[in-house]
Amino acid sequence: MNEADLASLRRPADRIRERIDRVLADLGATAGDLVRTLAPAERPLRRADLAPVQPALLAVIDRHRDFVQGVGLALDDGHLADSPRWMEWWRSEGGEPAEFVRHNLDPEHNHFYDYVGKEWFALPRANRRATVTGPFVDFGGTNEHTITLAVPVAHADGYVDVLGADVAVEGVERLLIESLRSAPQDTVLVNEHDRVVASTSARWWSGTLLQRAPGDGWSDAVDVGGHVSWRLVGTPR
Amino acid sequence: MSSFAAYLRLDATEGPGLPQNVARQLETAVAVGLLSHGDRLPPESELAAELGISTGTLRQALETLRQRGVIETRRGRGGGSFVRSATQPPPEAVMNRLRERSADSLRDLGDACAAVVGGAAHLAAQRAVGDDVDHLRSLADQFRTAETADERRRADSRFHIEIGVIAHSARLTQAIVHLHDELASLFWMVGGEADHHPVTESAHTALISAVDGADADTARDVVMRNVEGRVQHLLDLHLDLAVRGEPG
Repeated sequence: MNEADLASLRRPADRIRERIDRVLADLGATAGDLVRTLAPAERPLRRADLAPVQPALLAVIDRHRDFVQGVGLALDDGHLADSPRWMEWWRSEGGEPAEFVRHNLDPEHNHFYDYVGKEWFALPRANRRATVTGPFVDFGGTNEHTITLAVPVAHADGYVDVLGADVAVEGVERLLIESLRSAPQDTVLVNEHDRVVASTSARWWSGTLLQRAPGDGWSDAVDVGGHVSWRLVGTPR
Repeated sequence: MSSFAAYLRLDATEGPGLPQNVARQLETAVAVGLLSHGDRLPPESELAAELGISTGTLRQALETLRQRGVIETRRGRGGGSFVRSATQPPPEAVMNRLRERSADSLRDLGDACAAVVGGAAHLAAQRAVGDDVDHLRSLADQFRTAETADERRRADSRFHIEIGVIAHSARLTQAIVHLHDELASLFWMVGGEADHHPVTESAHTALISAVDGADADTARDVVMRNVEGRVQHLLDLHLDLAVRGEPG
C-alpha cells in the first residue's frame, strides 16, 4: 500500500464528510429557526404549538432528497404539557410527498419506541453537539438499517429537544461507490466500533465487524473527519 | 378539540368504508400513545363533531373497537367508553386460542421462531460490541423485575427483538417481531407460570454470555433450545385442554 493508494482514499473520505456536514449544517441552522419559532408560544408547550414547526422540517427533507429520507423533532422528556413524549417526524421516500410518521410512544405498548434512551437522542442532548449514530436497525423508528444525523435544539425554557435526519445505509454506500470508480483496491468504510458502514467488496458486509488480520495488506486508516469518527481503509484486490 | 382528535387523519366522506376508517384511526391513536389505556373517550356527540362525522358512523366504529377489545363501555354514573389495555387479552381468551390451535400449527410456529431467532443470535454474537451486550443486560433486568405476566411478556419480546437489532438485520428483526410475539403472547399469558421465570432468566443469561464471548454456535443453540422448551410446554397445555377440556 503506497502513498498513491492512500491518497485515493482521501477523495471518498472528503466526499462523505462534505455530504454529512452539509446536512448537519442545515440541521444546525434549522435548530436555530425552530427555537425562534417556538419562543413566542406560551409555556408549557402543547402538541398543538408544534404545528408551525412542520414547514421547516419538510424543507430540510426537500433540500436533501437524494440523501435524507426522514427529518423530525423529538421532544425532550416533559417538554410538552399534554404528552410526556412526542416525535414530530416526517418521512418521504422516492420523491413522494412527505408523510407524518407515527411512533409508538405508549410505554405500556409492546413495541414502545423509547427514544429518550437511544443514542441518536441521548448523545446530542447530553453533549450539546451534533452527532452521527449508526449504522443501526432502528426498530420502531425507520425499521431500516439507518444512520441518524442529529443536533440539539436548546430552548430558553431549559429543555433540549433533538432535531434529526435519517439516512439509509444504502445512501452512504452509493456515495462510497460513486467516489471510488476504477479504484485499484477494495475499500471499506467503518464506524467508531470498526463496524462496516459500506464497502466496495463482497468480502465485507455492512453491519458486520471488520476483522483485520495483520499481513492482509491493509492500508493505514484515513479519517473521514468532520462530525463522524468514521475511517476508510483499503486492501489490494 | 380533544388533543388526539387533531392528530387523526380522516378522509371524512360518509360512505360504507368510513366506520372502518374511523375505527382504524382510533386504534392507531391508541397504538401511538395518543390515547392510553384507562382514558375515557369524549361523549359520542362531541367526538363525532370533532371528527366531522355523524354519530351513527361513530357508533359503528366504536362497536368495531369493542368487538376487537380496544375499548370497553361502562354504564351509569362515571360511565362511557374507555380504552382497554391493547396488550392484555383476558386469559380465558388466550386459553381458548390455545385449545383451538392444532398441535401441528404450534410446532410449525415454534420451528419458524427457533430458526429465525436462532439464526439472528448466531449473527448477533459475531456482530455485537460492548454497548449491545449492555442493552441485552438491561432488557434481561427488566424481565427479572417484571411483576405481571404482561410485563414479562413485553420484556421477553424486547429482549428477543434486540437480538435481531444486534444482528443488524432489519428483516430478521421484523420476522422476530411477528413470530416471537405470537409465541410469547401464548406462552406468557397461559404458560408462563412461576417455575418458568428462572428457566427464562437463565436462558437470557446464557445468551448474553455467548454474545459477549462472540460464541455464535452457543448463542444459536441456547436460543433454539429455549424456544423448543416453550413449544413443548404449550403443546402439553394444548393437549390437556383439547383432550380433557382443562389445563392439566
